Amino acid sequence: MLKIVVVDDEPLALEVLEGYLKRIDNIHSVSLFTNTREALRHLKNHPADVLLLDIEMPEMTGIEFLKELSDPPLTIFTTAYRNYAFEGYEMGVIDFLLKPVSFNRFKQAIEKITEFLVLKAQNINIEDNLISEKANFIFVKSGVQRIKLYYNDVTHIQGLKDYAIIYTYAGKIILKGSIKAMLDIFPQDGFIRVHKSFIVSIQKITRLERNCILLNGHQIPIGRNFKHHLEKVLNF
Amino acid sequence: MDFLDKPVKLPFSKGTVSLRYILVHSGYWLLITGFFIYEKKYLIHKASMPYFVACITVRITLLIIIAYLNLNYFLPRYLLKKRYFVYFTAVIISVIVYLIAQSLFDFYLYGYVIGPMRNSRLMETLSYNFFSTLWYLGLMLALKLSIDWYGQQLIIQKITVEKLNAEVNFLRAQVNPHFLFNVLNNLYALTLKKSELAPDVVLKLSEMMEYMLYDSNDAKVSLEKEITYLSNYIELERHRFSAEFTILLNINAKLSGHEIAPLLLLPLVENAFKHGLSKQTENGWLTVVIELNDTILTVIIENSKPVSASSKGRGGIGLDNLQKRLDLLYPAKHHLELEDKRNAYKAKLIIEL
Repeated sequence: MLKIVVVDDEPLALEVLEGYLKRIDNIHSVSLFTNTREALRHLKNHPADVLLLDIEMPEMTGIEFLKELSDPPLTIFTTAYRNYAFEGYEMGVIDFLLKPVSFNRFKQAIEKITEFLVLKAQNINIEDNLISEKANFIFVKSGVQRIKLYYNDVTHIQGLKDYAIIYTYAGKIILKGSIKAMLDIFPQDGFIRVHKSFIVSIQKITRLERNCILLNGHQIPIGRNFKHHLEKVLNF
Repeated sequence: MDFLDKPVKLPFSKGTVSLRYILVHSGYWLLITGFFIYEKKYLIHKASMPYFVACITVRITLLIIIAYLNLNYFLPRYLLKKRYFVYFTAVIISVIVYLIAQSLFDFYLYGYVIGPMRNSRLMETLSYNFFSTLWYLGLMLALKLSIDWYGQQLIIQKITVEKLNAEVNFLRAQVNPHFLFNVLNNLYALTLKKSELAPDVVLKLSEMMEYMLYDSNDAKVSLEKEITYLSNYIELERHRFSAEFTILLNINAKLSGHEIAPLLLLPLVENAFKHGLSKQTENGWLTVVIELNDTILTVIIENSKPVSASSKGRGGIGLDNLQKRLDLLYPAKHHLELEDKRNAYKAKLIIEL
């Protein structure tokens, strides 16, 4: 059951999201704010699971808002401003919605969150002692099971606070550990960090655009500070 | 005078020249011929009419040959390529050749070289002929250069006008795409809740699009249309703010019968929303007052803004573009006054239509 906080300065936009949330089960409570200061005060006293956050707002932007929180909820940015799309990911948000948002796209974002919470609860760990330099796989431990994870199956990794979401063709696995820790585990000649929150398999890149990578149907942003290194590795 | 620029095919040549060129050059040669006739008319008494005609015809023909040799061959090849020494040598040689041919002809026909007066000495006659030929050539060159210069001035003028037009079009095109997205978002929200306001938003938006895409391509539009556009913009923006915000548009004028450059007034209103109302959570207000006295249009836009907002960089491109457009379209006929107060911002624009 999710506790959700929505912050958007425009009443009409807030109404839309409120209407959508009513159509989704598994929700415990929804609090709506047009005022960023009130929302901050509320969040400090009443921790939430999910934050739906507009970016362009008076007094402070959504990005500044997130920086105010020491332990922010899982956040989804909502914005009408296309040019924020990739900047938003810098903040380690789980998803990014461009307004107007369809209900289906909205549902997807909420599902992403529930999935993340479920996977997180499985408490999967990497078996440090089983990491071998030569092997083309690692074992990850989920409860008492050990799952074999081939590097070759991994398309990309998204860092989300203290967790890493490993995307494979078959699905996702969530591991405890920062994106930096993943960089040490995954072989350096096959994987490259392209953004503060993303590592991709070089082999799996299908297309490279000006500021994003297309891969297995996903759009991965390229961070400004990583672009140069990426171009060097790819021999551009 | 377009017919003067009509190209005319030249005989014995691949090139064409304008009718204007032919007229000017024919005129020049008629004048020269007239002068020759005047100067040499003593020949009619001294020799006879046929001799006189032969003398004039040969001289003019030879002169025409070296003049166009100079104009079409020496000028582009040497003078315009800054090979001055070669040019002057070529001119002097051509004049000397002319002189020799002409003198030999005179000598053959009359037994002496014909000079300006009845009885001159040979050296005097030769030097007179030499310098007068040089003079005709020089005159021709000056004529040619001044016509070319005039043509170039016309081209420069045309380019300047085109550049200004392009700049005006470019400046006008800076209508904020965010606005369109915002309106679509509002519309989405209104349709989702099946609001009765939705159809009105669609109508206003389509009216605005028509104005932006079609009407605004004209250099001037009716003042009524421009103000309707402004009022539609304000009405559509209104949906984004809470009902507590006061937004007033006051038009104290009969607008019909006047014209204005399109999309001129929008940047100021755009800024009022962007830097004022959008930055506030409560107590936002905007008043737009439009007055027209005879041909003097006064637009006063005043809006609230957060006290904390610094004014630096305010307006940015939008305001710069407006200033440039005003300078281009209403030079010395406009006055733009901006006043940045503690919690409000005021823009006053006066234009003589």
